Amino acid sequence: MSLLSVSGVSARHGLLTAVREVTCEVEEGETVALVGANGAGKSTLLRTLAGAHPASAGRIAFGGHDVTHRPAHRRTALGMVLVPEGRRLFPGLTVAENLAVAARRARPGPWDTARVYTAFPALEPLRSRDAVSLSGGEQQMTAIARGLLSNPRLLMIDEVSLGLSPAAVDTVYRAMDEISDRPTLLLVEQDLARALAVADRVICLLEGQIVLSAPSREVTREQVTSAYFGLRRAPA
Amino acid sequence: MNAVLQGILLGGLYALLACGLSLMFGVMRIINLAHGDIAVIGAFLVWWVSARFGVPPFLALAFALPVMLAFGYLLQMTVLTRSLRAGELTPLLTTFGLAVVIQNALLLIFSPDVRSLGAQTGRLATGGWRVGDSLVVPYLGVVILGVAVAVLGGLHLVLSRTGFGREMRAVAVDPDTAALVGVPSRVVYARATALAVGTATIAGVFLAVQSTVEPASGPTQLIYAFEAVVIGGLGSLWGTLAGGLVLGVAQTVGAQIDPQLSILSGHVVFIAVLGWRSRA
Repeated sequence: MSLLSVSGVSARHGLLTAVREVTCEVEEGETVALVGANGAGKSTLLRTLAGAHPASAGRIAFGGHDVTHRPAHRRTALGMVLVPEGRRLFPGLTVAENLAVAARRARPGPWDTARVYTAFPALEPLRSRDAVSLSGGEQQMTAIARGLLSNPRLLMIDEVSLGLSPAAVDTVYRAMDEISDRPTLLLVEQDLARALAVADRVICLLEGQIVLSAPSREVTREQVTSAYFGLRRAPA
Repeated sequence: MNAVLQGILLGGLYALLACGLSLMFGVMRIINLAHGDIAVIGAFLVWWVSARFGVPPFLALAFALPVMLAFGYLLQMTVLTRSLRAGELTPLLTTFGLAVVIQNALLLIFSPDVRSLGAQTGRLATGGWRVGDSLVVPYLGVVILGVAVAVLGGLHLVLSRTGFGREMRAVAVDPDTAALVGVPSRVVYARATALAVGTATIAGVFLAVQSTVEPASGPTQLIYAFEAVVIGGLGSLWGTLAGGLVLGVAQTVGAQIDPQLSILSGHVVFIAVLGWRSRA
């Protein structure tokens, strides 16, 4: 059985349907990249999976539990954790406090505060800094560290590299690469080359629907690009 | 000199009343229009326990406080959570309605008679230290100011040092993201309201010891608390203490000039601060 199983999930913003009957599976241990143009529904899909946005139809199952109607904090307790777009650190709280908020509600698992600082050594000297005073890359690392502290089985990261300098993107990915026993990852990544390099599988969304889902070894950049813009429907 | 001192001591009571209002606004953006009436419930509950079982008021407070904390928790879980879901202005209407309900319920149960806890507290309520010829420092005023500083300091410590306080700050700035890291905002909100109702209860008891309460006392106390919060700056606990003191001093100095100016001068200072803040 898959770790995450999504069947026929739709989500809307008012009258606009942002996600249309999406069906997909994510296996334990996989790294999946979610790509697509702006407005394709990537963020809404992740937010719906995490419980931050209501599903208007369909069913979401995680680790054998039907979580479709569970509130976000209970999905987090099951191990479905979202690092939201824009990092969304708590302003006015220090880096250490941001991490402590997550650690206090974490499910049991391998991650604790000490381990997070070992995995992201750049965060150690920033512990007592206000989260809003950090650079974009530092904020993203703090947000990912905060996500890991919940001890996720599935970590969803929305817009890993959006708004970061190329050097910061490298640092974030290098830090993620060095993490041992990494949770299953579902990432939204704007940079196609990067997405194909890190992921085992890519899922491409177009106008709220999946138009391509394939192992990243088996697809070319051109195939993904054409699915991305809807030039030619690749077999889903 | 005497007026300023008495004003500072009076301000302690206003700060104590105001801190719960400030906390609820800071964490949930709820302006609780029933805050004064909740303080009055606390006072009546303590009066009732004290009269029924013949215990001194401060012992009765020890019994009443857990009851009021539970009341605050349930109030948030049942009524206020639902109102918050309906938008920002709904809690304002809800708490306004709650204030009316509380006032009438108190009237029905306790009759419109004026009550005081002053008699049961004896020398604490009436005595004072004589300093020089014209200055008397009342025991009660000093105790109230001390309790106000302790309660505000305690709240400040809870918010800045404990895990529970950290969650409250996180939920206050971003409830959606707090849910994503596993914090149920509903529960955190309920705890914040419980704390606010607890501090209102303490304030209500001191109000009844210092002067009197009746079922209709709430709205006046709400106005003083509200003015203290606004003068001190929204959402800042130490600001709320300063706001209470400023309001108290304004009232007693006003009374020095003409006894009829007492309440008015407090309002004038409030309006002046509000005008000055909105200009900046």
